[in-house]
Amino acid sequence: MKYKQIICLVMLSILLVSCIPTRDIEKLGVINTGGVDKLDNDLIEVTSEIFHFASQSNDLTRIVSGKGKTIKDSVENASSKSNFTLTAEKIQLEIYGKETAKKGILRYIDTLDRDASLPDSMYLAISDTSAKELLSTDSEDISLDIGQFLHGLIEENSTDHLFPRINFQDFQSSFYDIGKDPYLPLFEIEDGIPILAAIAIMQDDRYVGRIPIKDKLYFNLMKENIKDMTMELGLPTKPFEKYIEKEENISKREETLHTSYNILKGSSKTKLIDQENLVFETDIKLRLNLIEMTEEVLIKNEAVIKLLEKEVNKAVKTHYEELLAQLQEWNADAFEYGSVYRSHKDKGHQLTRNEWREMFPEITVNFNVDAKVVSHGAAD
Amino acid sequence: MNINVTINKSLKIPAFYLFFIIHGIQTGVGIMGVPRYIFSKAHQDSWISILLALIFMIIVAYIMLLILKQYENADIFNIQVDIFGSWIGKLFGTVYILFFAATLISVILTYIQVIQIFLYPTIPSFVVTGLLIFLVIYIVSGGIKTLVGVTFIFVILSQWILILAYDPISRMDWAHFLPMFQASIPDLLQGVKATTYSVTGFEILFVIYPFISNKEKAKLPVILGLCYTTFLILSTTAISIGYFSARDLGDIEWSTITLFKNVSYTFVERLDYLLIAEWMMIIIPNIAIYMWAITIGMKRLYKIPQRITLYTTSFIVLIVATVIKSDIYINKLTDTLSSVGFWLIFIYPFVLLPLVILKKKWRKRKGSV
Repeated sequence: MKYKQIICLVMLSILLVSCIPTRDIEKLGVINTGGVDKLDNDLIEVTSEIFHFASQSNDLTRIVSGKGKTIKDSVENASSKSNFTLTAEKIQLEIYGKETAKKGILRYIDTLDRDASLPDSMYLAISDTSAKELLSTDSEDISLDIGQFLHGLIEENSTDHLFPRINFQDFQSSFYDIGKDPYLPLFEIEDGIPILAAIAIMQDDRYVGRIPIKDKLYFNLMKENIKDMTMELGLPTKPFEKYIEKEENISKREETLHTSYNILKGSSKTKLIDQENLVFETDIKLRLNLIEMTEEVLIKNEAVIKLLEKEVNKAVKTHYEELLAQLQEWNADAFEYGSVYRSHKDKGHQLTRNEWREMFPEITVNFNVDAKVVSHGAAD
Repeated sequence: MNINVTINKSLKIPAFYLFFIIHGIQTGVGIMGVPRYIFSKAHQDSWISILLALIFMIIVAYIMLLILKQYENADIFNIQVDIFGSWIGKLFGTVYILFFAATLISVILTYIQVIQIFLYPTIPSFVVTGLLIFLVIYIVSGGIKTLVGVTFIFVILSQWILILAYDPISRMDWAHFLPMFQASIPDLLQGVKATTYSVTGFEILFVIYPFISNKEKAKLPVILGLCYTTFLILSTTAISIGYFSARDLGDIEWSTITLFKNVSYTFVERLDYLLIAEWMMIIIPNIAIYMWAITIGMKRLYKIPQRITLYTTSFIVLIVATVIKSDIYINKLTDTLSSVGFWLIFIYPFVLLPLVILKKKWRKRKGSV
């Protein structure tokens, strides 16, 4: 009697399992990278690179594009042009054209949040050209397909969760948090090859300006502790003059002494000093390993190291001040001072987005840089 | 009606398993979405609310044990009949059974909703309900030993999910907790109340108590079970607050699952898919224990054999879960349950205790005279 029951249950279970919808991989076009461009008259164009596994074809990837009023509508439109069902469950990178990003990307973000089948781990980026143009670059020099190549550019240029690895969740978090503005990597096409060219600074969801990619270090340092990263600094040659090896160094000396360091440890801490006058203090700590110098400065004693450290402090400080001035001009708080301000806010009042927009250009920040050159490599 | 029930010695379980039963029945679908509800009330101070909820829960559990100790070997159904008389006592018992049934249905519905949103948008509800119900029938007809065994195994087997939390933890922004202590006392208490839906279930103590062999040792495993559940709720809420921005957390329906949407490995791209399937292991003990409690209740109150209740209830659940589709109704059901549950689980024992003690004193006096 008991066995009959159990067999009955098992049979029914097997029958029920077949009700689960199936999808054959040969009929799927798996979207790997997506690009969004806004066209005129309220239309958007979605260009996507898809993987398909049909046995007849040699090419594993293909670029498809479609137009529509919403992202999903455009994907549907692209789907109707290809013989695959397009699915976006494995999407790795989403790119917005610069012109599109200038008008705001929030309306394209909604579906990423609402549609639970999409992963949060996808990276977001902006293209200097239109996204379609970027995804259509076809170069001999890229051995991979374009989507994987761009994804690789982002992956390999950072570690952990640091820039340019800005995924959907990071973006959303800095977008929604009061007193923070997001920034995204910006791709450019140089000699037919896409490169990671700049940091695209956003005000809320709108692109407002770009900062060269080599400054990513300064942004990462404000956000998290960093280690094992290279930093290049141009210092004035003058203070080092008396330590420069005179005899060997025959050629005429340059104005600037270029130096490179490996950052062993870097951290930053921001405090609100004066709530009334909006004065902040940011302490930056750097432990450096000198790895390159364009002039033969002999590091014979501590005084030279002290001098070097002093100049490094000055240079980093100046650079931070320049960056902040630039951000204030754009009114985009990528350094997240608003977040610090919000944390110290008195009880009972919540800082609003607009309040901070008005305050941010007014803030003053004292940067205190404490750089220590821990070692100067294998040479004096 | 004899108030004390005699349980066959072979059916008794050691008090140790109460830890798994309490934790297994408390942790279900509630934890998938609870951070949002607590956060909407107590904001960045939600963790205080959760800790307050734990203290409250421990007090309530203590009261429950105190009530049960007044009798030799009785459960809530018999106690209520003893206190309020046959009619009202049975009515109250039926309320308990209906509450169990409604919770059972809401758990299944919520799980189906999650499957439909995350995995298969077109899967018919009756398929998932059917699969779950078959398992439940199988477990419950195996008796209490099977039930406890399944709970024990499934609770242990689903703990690996915690390891995956390292990724959201590494992405947390601790500034989200600042400024601290901003929530007012009423806000915090609202937060405590919002926690209730996800901690309902430990009222099962009222039903399972007669089956415990060493009752004097029951207190510790119960409290540890409550603590562990609270620990999980506390950590998911804390991680959610750090991981999502405030505005975003208010919008996200199942924040605990969304936390894991970012975890990906080279061999499994989308771990959240695996997680939802794994969640079935968390759901099964949950609904199986509720189903068992329903059958026991019907047996105590109306002398209906457990097998008949099991099949009828399963059938009703299958129908109801198929009919209710809109998420608005599901949310309404959950909301109603959490407010009913608050009164039934957290407040009612405080009312019951003095009555039980009074009745015992009265009976003693009558006995001595």
